[in-house]
Amino acid sequence: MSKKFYSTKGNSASAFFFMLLGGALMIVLVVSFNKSVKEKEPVVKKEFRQIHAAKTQKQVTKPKPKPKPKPKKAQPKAPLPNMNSLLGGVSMDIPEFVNQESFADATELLKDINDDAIMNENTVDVKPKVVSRPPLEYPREALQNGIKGYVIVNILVGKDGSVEIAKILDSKPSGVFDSAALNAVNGWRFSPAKYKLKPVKIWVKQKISFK
Amino acid sequence: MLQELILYWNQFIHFMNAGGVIMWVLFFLNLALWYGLGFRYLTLKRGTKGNIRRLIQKHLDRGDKKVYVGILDYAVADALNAAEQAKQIGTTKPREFIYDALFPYSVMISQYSTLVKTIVVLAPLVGLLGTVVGMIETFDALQSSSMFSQGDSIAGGISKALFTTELGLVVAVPGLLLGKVLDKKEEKYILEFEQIADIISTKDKE
Repeated sequence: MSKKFYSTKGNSASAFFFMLLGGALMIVLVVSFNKSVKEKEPVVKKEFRQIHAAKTQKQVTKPKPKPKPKPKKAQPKAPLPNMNSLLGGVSMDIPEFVNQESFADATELLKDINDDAIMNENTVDVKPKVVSRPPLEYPREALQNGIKGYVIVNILVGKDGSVEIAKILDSKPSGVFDSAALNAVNGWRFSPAKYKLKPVKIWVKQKISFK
Repeated sequence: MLQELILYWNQFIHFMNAGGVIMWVLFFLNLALWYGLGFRYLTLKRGTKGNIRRLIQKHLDRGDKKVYVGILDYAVADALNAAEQAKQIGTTKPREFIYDALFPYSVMISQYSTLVKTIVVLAPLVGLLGTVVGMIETFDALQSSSMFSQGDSIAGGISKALFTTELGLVVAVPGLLLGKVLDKKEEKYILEFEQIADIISTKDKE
């Protein structure tokens, strides 16, 4: 019996056709399942774009407040200014701050505050402190008559710490100490109140007692 | 027609590049897989449909005039030669001679089977790798983009990333199906080689 050898050489050559077949199969599949995506996309994208535009408008306003609260957290709470002790020893243990609780709205704190906003003691981070003040003059007539009383002054402290407006809220007896108190208050200097590390205007109530 | 083909080809290149490097890895894995499948298919062609006993009888009857069709014909011819040699030497163990003669064939039928099995398992994993790489890129892009323009970049990046997984499965599934069919064939051949050895070594004792 003569010998015939089985060889796989022919196989490897024709196996390349299978390779090409596989490659072609893949090309067809890749292109075909991408085509369907491409057809869908424009429809979906158009819908998204419209929503998108609405979103980007928000984007202008929204991201701003987000980074800001961080510094607020990091900021240590300022200690309450103890005006009594500060001023108490000097001439006539008079003045003290009175909290204004009436218009403290916590939700407003979340909004951005524009530059000229005027705040009160409850909304600022650092409360103002009296830096310098001229001596208080006791009105001569009152001194002679031995009149005692008090004046409650509302002071608008500016960003630089100067007194911008001073108004008499209440006084007893009325009219006696008003001008003296206003004169004194207008000369006061404050360290400015701060909100989120920026100096702000602030209304401060101050009771000045005349004894 | 030619222009359409070129357009098709360009589209393919575009999508492949859009999916990243992993896509090309998968593509070449696919080529290797189909080469292996083709080779195995051609090697495992049976050619003759009759059973082994009749095939051996045909070889004995016709001798040189027999036309060899498939791997079994060659295997039977080689096994008969080996049996004849064993007879001439006068050994009592013709079965060993036949086994030796059939050994190259059993090697041949298992050729590329490991490659095919490996690629079938590997392709989805490589696809998954591509997805992970794509997701990392997506999140990188997300980090740098502003808050509300993220929607687009996320969706685009993810669809791109999942594409490699899809391709990995596309490579694996036909490979798995055809590979299993060919494995079954190979098993059958191993049994038939056993049968050849049995029949030829016990033929003279009858």
